[in-house]
Amino acid sequence: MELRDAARKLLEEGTVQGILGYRRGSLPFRTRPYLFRNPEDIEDLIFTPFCTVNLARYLFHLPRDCRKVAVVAKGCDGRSLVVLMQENQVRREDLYILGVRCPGMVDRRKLEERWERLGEEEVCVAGETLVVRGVAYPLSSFLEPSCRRCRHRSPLVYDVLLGEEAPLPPREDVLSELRCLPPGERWAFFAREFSRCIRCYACRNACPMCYCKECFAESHMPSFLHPSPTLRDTFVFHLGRAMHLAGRCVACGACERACPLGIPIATLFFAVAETVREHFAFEAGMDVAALAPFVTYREDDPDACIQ
Amino acid sequence: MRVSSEGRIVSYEAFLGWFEGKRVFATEIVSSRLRLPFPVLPTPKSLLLPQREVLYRFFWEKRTWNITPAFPSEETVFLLCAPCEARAVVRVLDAVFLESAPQDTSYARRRKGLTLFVVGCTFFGATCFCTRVGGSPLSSEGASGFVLSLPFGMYLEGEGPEGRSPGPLEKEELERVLEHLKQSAPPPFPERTPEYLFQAFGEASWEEVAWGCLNCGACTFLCPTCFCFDLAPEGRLRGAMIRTWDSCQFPKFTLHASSHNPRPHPLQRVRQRILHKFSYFPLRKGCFSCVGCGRCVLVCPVNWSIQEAVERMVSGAQ
Repeated sequence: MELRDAARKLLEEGTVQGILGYRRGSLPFRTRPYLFRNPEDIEDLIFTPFCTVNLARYLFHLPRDCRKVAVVAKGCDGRSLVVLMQENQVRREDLYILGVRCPGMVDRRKLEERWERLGEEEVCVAGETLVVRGVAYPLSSFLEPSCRRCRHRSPLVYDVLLGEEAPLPPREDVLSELRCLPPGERWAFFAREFSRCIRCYACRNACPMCYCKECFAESHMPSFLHPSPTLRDTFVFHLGRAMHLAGRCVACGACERACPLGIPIATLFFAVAETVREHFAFEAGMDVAALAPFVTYREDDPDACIQ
Repeated sequence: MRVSSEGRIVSYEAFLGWFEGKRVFATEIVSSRLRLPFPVLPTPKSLLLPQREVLYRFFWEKRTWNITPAFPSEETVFLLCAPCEARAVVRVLDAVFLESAPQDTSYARRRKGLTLFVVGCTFFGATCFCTRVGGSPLSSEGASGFVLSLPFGMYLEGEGPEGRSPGPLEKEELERVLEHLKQSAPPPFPERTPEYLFQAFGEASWEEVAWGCLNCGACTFLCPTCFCFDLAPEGRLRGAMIRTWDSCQFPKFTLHASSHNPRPHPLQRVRQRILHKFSYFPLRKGCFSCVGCGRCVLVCPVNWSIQEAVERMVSGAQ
């Protein structure tokens, strides 16, 4: 495999001290992030349509002796790395971006729901079709919501880009249904979903942009929300995160996929990303030099409230 | 694993009929295997140690604090759960909240009203490892009734509707299930696992074992045995003291008032989770505080497996 060869070469030549990639999990359709440090382990390195974790998050989990690291990056991981570079969390020279062309991530919950005891070998992705037990289905109806609305499946900043180029399938507006609802029903939708939240913070911890040393959700002095999951406090947590991530969130959907209860949290972040795009003509993670809308101040700002 | 002579066969309808008019819940593991019309709970913990629980209400008036304890009701509740989950209640939660002094009043009241009804397992799920930690897919420990769903009907022991005794064909089928379970049972962890892990505290391999864990609380919150809680008041001069779940994976779990934190590093917190379940708790109470339900592996965002971690750490023991 092209990816393994490239990764092995990087380790053998000592270009990097480690490679952040994926390997097989203990269950079908699960993959595990792994820091490959020995060229012999590279055999385990995989890239499948089930590599759903955003590896940019793991830059905060590197051992100290890992000065330069290569990251296997799909489009969203790549854009997350760009935001982290913009925010001075990582330097470009400490990174080797092993870009991979992403086919879109398949929602394993959808597969598990529809087919019982499905094995990973019974499923394969060929172009825009998903073949399950010999029957072809349109891939788009099994993709994660974040992938159905994705504009950039390959990283924009990279050292090497692997995989075959494929045309980007039409982008789906995953928010259209929700947008048509009156505000009251929209609120009811989020209230229904968030009432299941147990505040385990898996969404926050899977998010590459949530790297605060102390999260507002866990702050005691001052305390912004109660640790017990009342609907009110849960709303404060998720809306607070949404505000903090406006203009920074690359809409990778890692939060939603990390949620043990399957709450569609990313819906909120898609809406935030689209609002930022609409009002500030800005998309996070496109350009290292671009300044994010909420860290810039212009004296000639057309909005009078900010002057 | 055995088939008792007092076992009887009842129909699915009779089984459900027996619960009519009673307050019944089923855990997620059970309801994912049997079609049941009962409300679903993640684990028995949600009933006994709810995530949000008012311990007492308070208000400040005439320069004194007025405190009213809040007692949960002792209402009778039935819970259909898996054998591992019943063990989690009897062996772990009861040992901590009932059998230790002082007893936890609100837990004791809730526990008094709870009747466990075990639904035995006919196969090992992909993440199941109850037999590794001393459990069994057919254990009825702590339950008032035990039921096994088989192709010909429900095999029942203990409390429940009347039925007929199993015929020779049904006995044969039962034996087949038992034999299959016996063949596919994962072997127990080595006998001296708690002592060995205790010694292994300082080993360098923890770093690799713990790597990958995101330090979220999904595993601990959805674990049937994890019982750590936090007390947090709501309101200043009038309000309530709330008990809520806490997780050893959170950085502030061990934060002292002095600002010292004995477990600031994610690795230390992962190690704590393993050692508490597989070393400290068994050394004090005589049994693992992990019942091998495997839910933590199932819900983990990165498929981190506690079973593999323990296996790896004790692999040097034999």
